[in-house]
Amino acid sequence: MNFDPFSMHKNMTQQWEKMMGEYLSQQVRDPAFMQVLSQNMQQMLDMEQLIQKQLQPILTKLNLPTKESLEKLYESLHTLESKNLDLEEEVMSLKQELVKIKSKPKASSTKKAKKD
Amino acid sequence: MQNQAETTVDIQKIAEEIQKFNGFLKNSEHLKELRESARKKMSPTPREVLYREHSTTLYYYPPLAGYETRLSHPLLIIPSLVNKPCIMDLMKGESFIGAMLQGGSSVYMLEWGEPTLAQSRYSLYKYLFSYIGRAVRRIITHSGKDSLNLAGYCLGGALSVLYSALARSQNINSLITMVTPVNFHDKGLLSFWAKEEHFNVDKLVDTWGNIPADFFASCFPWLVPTANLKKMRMIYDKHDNDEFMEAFFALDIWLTENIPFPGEVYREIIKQGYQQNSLASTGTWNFGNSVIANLNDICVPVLNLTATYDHVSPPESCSMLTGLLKNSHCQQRDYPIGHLGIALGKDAKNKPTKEYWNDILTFLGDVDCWKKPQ
Repeated sequence: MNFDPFSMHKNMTQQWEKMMGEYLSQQVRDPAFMQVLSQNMQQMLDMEQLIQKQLQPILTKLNLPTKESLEKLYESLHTLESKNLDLEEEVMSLKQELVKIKSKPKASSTKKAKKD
Repeated sequence: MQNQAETTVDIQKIAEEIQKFNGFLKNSEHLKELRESARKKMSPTPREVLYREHSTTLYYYPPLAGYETRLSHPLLIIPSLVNKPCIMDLMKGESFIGAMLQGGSSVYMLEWGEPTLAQSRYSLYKYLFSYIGRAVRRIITHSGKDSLNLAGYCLGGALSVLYSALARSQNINSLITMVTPVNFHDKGLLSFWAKEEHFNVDKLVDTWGNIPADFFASCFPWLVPTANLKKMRMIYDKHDNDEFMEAFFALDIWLTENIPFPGEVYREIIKQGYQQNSLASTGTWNFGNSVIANLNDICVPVLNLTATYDHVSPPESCSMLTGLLKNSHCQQRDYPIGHLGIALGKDAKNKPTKEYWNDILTFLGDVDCWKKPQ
């Protein structure tokens, strides 16, 4: 039998990968681990909220738009865009109505022709 | 003598491995090029933009040359909100959209896009009523038909179900749900992570607004912790197979390039879906202001597709829909595949198959002449 260091290494890494996979899968399902992760996340969000709070008055003083002002601007643009699409839909339905109406006079004109 | 034979080193094999490693190193630049060429080959099916509204876009896929549209009702695809929708049209031969067109259906898809700052405040109701609602109206006008088939993938399936219930199946001919989670209290990891005691979704949405793509990109790999290692090994083993590597990179681009999730919608899905499990426990979804979507209001034929090895939407979460739909004829198919098998048309061994797409086309053919009871 030949000694193959590459196959041996491959087998070893596969074994390690399997063990690590099982271990990590257990960890991410562990309530204690999740509690620590959750606390970390809370702290990170606290920090981010603090930064946002500090930045807001500075941006206002510099006459730069804040997140809220940009949100409002987007909202106005969105309303316009939606209204435009609503109008487009109304025009489309009116066009369809028009096509229907245009096809109707044929019947009335034949009636007229009969009367004549 | 026997011991000496056992410890013989296979020089030939070592030489081959060194050669392979050298080849891999030399190939690294070529691999980068392949990744970019894969990106260019993604979403190969020709399409037209019907309209754009905020971050959303409605695409129409005209019939492919040589294929006739034989089904009378158009198909609207609703993808998930977490990833880009190109998974439905990944590459030639791996395209759900292409298969539907070849099967004789006319196809439309609503792309969610990256939500804007204002969209972070839009409710799930607005997403359903305004965005899906408009897409349905536009398709009805564009196609000249009175109803369409609605197909949703993953979370897009849940949105399709909620929309169908909300619209009381108006303008809907049938519903196809692909790996769609309905019971959020399943054995999956996402369900565990989203528990109220671990996850303060209010704080997350209040701080961030839209949930950044990076958040999902850092969470999802933990669903299969060794997935990234497997990915590296795969690249090393198959680096000289250009065709394989292109398909591999296309999927990797889709997997790793998430999109931000609209904040308020995220809050509602986590709270009412993952934490209260509203759909599974009551068959309803409360949008506030007395607007309630009731699954009993879905009265069109439904095809519910689940995947046995799905770790994102576990089969026990998806299959519950079949029992919850009391007023519609719901067929269920379980395939021994993972989360992406149906979109890519690949079996558990990653071999191409048309089985799932053919099942969908057969269903679409069956419901084509179906008439809704008045």
